[in-house]
Amino acid sequence: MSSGRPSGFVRALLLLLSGPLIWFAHFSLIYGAQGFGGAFGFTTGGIRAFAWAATFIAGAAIAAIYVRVQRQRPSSDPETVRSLARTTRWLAVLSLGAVLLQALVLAVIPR
Amino acid sequence: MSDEAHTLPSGYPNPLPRPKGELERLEAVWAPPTGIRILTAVNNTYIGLFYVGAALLFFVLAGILALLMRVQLAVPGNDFISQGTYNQLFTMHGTVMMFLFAVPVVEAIGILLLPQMQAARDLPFPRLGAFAFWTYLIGGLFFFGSLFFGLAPDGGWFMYPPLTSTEYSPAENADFWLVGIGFIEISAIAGAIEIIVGILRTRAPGMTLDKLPIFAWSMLVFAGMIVFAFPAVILATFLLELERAFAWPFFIPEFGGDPLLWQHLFWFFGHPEVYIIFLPAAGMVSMIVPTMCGVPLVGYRLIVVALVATGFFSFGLWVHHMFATGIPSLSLAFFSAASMAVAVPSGIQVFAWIATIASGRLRFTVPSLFILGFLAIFVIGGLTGVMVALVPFDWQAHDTFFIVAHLHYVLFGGMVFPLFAAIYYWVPAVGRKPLSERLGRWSFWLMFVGFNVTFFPMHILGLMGMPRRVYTYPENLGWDGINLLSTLGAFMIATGVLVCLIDLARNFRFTPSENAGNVWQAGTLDWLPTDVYGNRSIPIVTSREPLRDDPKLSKDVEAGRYFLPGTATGKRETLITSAIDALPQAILQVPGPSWRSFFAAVFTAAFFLLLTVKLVWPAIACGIAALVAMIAWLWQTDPGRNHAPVDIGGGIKVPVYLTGPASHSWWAMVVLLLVAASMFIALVFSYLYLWTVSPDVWPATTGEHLPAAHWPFISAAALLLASLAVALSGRMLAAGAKIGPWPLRAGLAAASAVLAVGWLLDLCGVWQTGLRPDDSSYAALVYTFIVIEGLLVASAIVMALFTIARSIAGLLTPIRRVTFDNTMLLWHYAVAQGLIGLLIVHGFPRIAG
Repeated sequence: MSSGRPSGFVRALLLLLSGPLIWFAHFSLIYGAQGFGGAFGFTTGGIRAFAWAATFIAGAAIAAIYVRVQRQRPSSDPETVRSLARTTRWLAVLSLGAVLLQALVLAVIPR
Repeated sequence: MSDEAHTLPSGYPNPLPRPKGELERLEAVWAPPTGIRILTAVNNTYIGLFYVGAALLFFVLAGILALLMRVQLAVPGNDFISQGTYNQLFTMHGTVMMFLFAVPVVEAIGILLLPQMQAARDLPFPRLGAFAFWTYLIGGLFFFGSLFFGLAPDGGWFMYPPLTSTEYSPAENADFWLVGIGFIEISAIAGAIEIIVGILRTRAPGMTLDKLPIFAWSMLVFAGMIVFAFPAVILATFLLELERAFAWPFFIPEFGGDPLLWQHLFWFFGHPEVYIIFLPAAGMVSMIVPTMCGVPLVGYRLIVVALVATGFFSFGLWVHHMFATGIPSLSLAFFSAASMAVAVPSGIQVFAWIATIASGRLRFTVPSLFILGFLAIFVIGGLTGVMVALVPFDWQAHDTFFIVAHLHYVLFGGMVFPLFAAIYYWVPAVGRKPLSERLGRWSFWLMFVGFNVTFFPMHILGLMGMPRRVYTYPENLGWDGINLLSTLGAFMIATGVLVCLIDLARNFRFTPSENAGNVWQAGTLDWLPTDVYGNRSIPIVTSREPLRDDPKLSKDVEAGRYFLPGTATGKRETLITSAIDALPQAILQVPGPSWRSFFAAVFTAAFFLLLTVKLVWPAIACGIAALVAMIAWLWQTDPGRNHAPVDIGGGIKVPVYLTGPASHSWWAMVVLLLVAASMFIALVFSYLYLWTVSPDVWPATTGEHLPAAHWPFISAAALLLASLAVALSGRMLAAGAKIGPWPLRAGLAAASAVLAVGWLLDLCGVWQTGLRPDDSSYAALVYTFIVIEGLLVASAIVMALFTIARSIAGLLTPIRRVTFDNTMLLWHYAVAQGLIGLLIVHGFPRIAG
């Protein structure tokens, strides 16, 4: 865990927030596809397929981050690193739940 | 300049006696101004307290407006207030509560308490904090004063067009909202920048992020949300004011505009705003509950997770407020799902507080009562929130009193009750004695019972069909008794608030040098002994509740046995630490009292207010005066390396000046650029949104008004060249004595000229096609891209000229270069945004066509 350099802080911050950031990207993509897709000539089926694909990728990305953080070994200040790693994992779990909840909409709302 | 962080030494507390005169020198440096010069105070304790006082004043004023409304609605067919005045009252009540009370008061408490919680002597930009406060106070008072001249806005606190368009609101009432609120939000953003940098860079050594007090976490999320949410509404107010003042038709369907664009932009800010208000209040609750229960907070980490997750998820809810606007069902369902998702992190916090209460022994003090009241009311508000997140229910309850009840349960319950808990809890930290338990209990019960008597029946009123914002109603609808009950309840709340104010008047005396001490036996650093300089020495933090874990800590800190027990450079200072591990990096010399930031605020406020009433020339004069005051203020803010590295204790020597990414001002500039980027993204969204609504006014179908490709290419080349020139100037500055200062000055001057030419070329390219901003929504957006880029270009050029002036004055050297670094950051950002703007304005119609 970098202590002094801003670049280290930015890296740590991005990792900490990776779950919610992926949720936000997923949300923007599926809402954007729904809102703007029609204007670009995409069909409803195409938009839904895109949203499912985005959901799959977002879910996989969050899972990968969870696993990566789980395997991370502390190098410097173990207490801070462990604590931030646990926070990152919890945020990933919550974000995955939110992504899946958005996907549920695709499953239950008729075309 | 090295930005290395030092490891923490052992051997603390230092048992050696402190040198004579050390404390006296510290007191002299931090002595507050007296008499009329109190207006120049910048210290966080003074500005924080002024801020809290002003916010409470606006709370009382907006509360009086609510009472007037309740008197009007007490009986059917009442003619106590006219319809027009009633419209102004509900608009001003909502606007003042949201913009002049709720956000400022939590920002104020942050400014007041965060340095104490982090054992910092002050926040890193005290004059920015003072500027934010004075602009807010002056602007807020004038905004509120518009009521007495019949000029107050009357379109509801969310000011939907077309009601607020020139056609339906031709008078200046709406302009007061648009200019006044847009400008007050700039003050909120200034405060947010101060808070972000303060939390990340001025913590006590050892206060790693996992030991950060929960209130600080909540303020960090709060400030981050302001950075990303507020620019959307600033853009919205800018667009609507452009439409009203110059007929640029963003929201007029006949010209390809859409009133729903306003709703998207407003609620992209407006829904996070609810959490912007709630999260700091939740942070206060998380500080008070463990103290009152005598146990550590249960689920600290989960609460941090919940705060961060709420901050994010709240940005996926804005259409939650637009369910009745005819949006496609799949979109509605996305937002409905997100509205339910956000209930999860909110629930985590509620369960953590309940678990903490269950695991300890709750003392039934006044703060505890307000917390319990908050829990009950907020949970009810949360549950009705889930109800209105369900689209079919929302269609039934939309624009009825059910919504009025729900929003008050969330906002009053979720924010005002914790605020009163906080007042009773923290007054002993800044005053000579605690407030009265007896009066406090009266205040609580009057407010709690009054609140439920006022607002619970409104659920029923709403379900019975009473719409909100009606100034009267006929007597045969069965609404009479419930309305009368609500009015009685409102006066009970007012009495409760009055009792608290009497308590404050009787028992609160601001005594930063002599506070009541740790009367609650709390464990966090805000309860260390303090003076105008903060803590006598800055301790090493080894746990989340240092005072509980080390009973001698207060005494040792007070005796100067930790870091920086005096003034190392003879000036006001605070310790800069690394963002994650909080290891000492440098000493920051913070500026002291000044008229410059005060006058900058006065003239800035005057500029916007005069503009609102269309006194253009006086406004311009005040704008120039504000600019001069700001430049005079900024002239003093880059002191350079005026002192050799200093010993802060424990054998640690740190520099007194940092440059580049390690400097606190670099961090502030990056946050400011994030604000600018958020506003730009909102503009891009507006462009794409209106394109989907009215593609027929876009050039791809009309076949005209698109400049030849060479215009944007030449403009882009000029922008890139300007960036390159500034980058080269940076190298020239680094080369310093070898080449002298003139190449740098010439480089910046040339870069300014090229940047201006690049922008002008874009403007000319569009202008020569015959396109005019009032032609259509497309044209208005194209010119808005140019105007916003123009503002950035103008700012960058002013900063470049400022940098050149400092170089000529000998205040810019290879070491003393913070001014240049900030100019360079803004410069490159302006170029990047300009290039993306060119791509969208000139590329998108060609691609989409």
